[in-house]
Amino acid sequence: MTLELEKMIEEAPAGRPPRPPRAPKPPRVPKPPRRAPRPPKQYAPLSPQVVLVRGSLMILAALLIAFAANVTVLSQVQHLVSQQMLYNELREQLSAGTAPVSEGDFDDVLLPDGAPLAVLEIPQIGVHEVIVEGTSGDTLKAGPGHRRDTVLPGQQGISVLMGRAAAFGGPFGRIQELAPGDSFTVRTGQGKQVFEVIGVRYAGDPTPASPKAGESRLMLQTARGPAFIPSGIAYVDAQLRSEVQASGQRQTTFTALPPQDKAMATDTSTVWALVFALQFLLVAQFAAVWAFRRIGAQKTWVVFVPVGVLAALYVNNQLTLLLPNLL
Amino acid sequence: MMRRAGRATAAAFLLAAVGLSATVGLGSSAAIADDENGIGLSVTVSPAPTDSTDVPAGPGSSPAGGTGSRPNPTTSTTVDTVAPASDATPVPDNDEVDLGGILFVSGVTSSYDWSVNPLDGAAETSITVRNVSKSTFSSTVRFWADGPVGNRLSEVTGVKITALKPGESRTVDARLGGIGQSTFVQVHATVKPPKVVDGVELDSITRDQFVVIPPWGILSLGGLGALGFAAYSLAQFIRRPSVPAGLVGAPA
Repeated sequence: MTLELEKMIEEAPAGRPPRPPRAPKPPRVPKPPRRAPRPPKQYAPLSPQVVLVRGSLMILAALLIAFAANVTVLSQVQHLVSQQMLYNELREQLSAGTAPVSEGDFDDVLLPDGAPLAVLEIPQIGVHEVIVEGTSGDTLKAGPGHRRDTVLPGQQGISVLMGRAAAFGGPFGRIQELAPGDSFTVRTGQGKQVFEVIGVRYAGDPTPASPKAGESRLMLQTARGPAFIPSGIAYVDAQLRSEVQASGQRQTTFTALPPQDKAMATDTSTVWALVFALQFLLVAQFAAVWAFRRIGAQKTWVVFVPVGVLAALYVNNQLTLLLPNLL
Repeated sequence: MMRRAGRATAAAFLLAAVGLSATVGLGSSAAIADDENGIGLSVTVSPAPTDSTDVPAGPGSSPAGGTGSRPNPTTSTTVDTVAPASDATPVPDNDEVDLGGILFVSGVTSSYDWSVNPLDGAAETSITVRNVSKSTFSSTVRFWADGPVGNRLSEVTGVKITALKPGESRTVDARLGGIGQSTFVQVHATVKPPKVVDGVELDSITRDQFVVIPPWGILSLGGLGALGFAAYSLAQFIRRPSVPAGLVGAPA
């Protein structure tokens, strides 16, 4: 049986000739290097002063970047959130008939800075904003502000609204595109007021004649020039076309207007808060360095990234108040 | 073991300190709001309006001299007393223009009109003018555009506004070419009215607008360069042999 099988195998046509035994692989010979590898550069050890200066400059650079990001990007989000909350509050007041019609609220208490007053709608340039009381830099973060010493839009006299041109939503960034004859509305506690644009003017141009008794005028103010680099003030005057409303009582006069509420003013009344914010940032940095050395990198990162971001937010929010309020 | 416990305690103290400082920070911001309200309240003229409420609002009273129109009986009577005041002086109808002044203008509006040629491209610029005087007059408008370093990009002069009637608004536009890739562009328009209209001397009025135009030519060139570099790097990565060459040969 086995002989037959062997015979069959031998008789079978040969498929492939058997391979000759392979020569053993030669050992790898490494190429001689063309030139000697460069020795790693040896730097002189840094002195403690240099380490301190380097660290401080790094923190300063990070703060500057955070400041730019805060003013250009994060401020827009803050404005959106504020507007949503203000709109909710004002809708409730309008439906209850308690929206303010003077400088006081329904209970005769002076309106705080940032209280919602009215809704400004300018469809031509896509503006739908809740107006707040007060025009300081901090107040204008939420939306366009109403100058305290002027009447409300639609009331007899001149009403002044100020708005930012670029940061915090830049609600008034495009008001210069309004042409004479364009109409827009402001909904206050006294109803819907319809205005017609008179024209755009810059500081130094002749102003329209003062409104006569029984007339109402609205003046929109913002910064002109490149975005975030204001070079002056632009004004848009508008005349009321609907029925004139009775003027509400005003406690504030132009002489009593806080200096930070004037156009292009900076707000230095809360610089003390900037000092505290900087102290908090410094404490957080020192604590982070201490933790890095004593506890380890991983845990330090987890704990101190949110703390550092919070400190940077406090500092930047205070720094923003030192910029012009119409920016 | 003791040392580790010590570290943990130190970390806990540190966290507590940071938390405390954060609370202080939050508290300070709340205090800011309170303080600002305080500033608003610290107006020293508060008794004055109380006196002024006794004075009936007359035709010549200041705009701030009125009283609130909160929905209650006393204020509603005040509203009625204001109404005759407005009857005393005629109020213009909705269609009537009574603004005073001679000429009002809008700001400059411009839109970018791109071109296939990266060195071309134009800004379609327009301005609206309104005649609020009592006579018909003509004006000319000059449009021009400046680049980021103040270099003149384009200029269109002598755009005519002929026979602008009283109460009429007219929009004139101009095409400022040669904008190219100058990203930061300042567009200006100067309206030059007649020297005297209705006995009032007039001066020319200039309006500006700052426009940021994305430099699409430079950006696409940069994008192409980045794509080319990525493709080259990928090709190098794929063609890299897995076994270093030059090692095949018979043993010596």
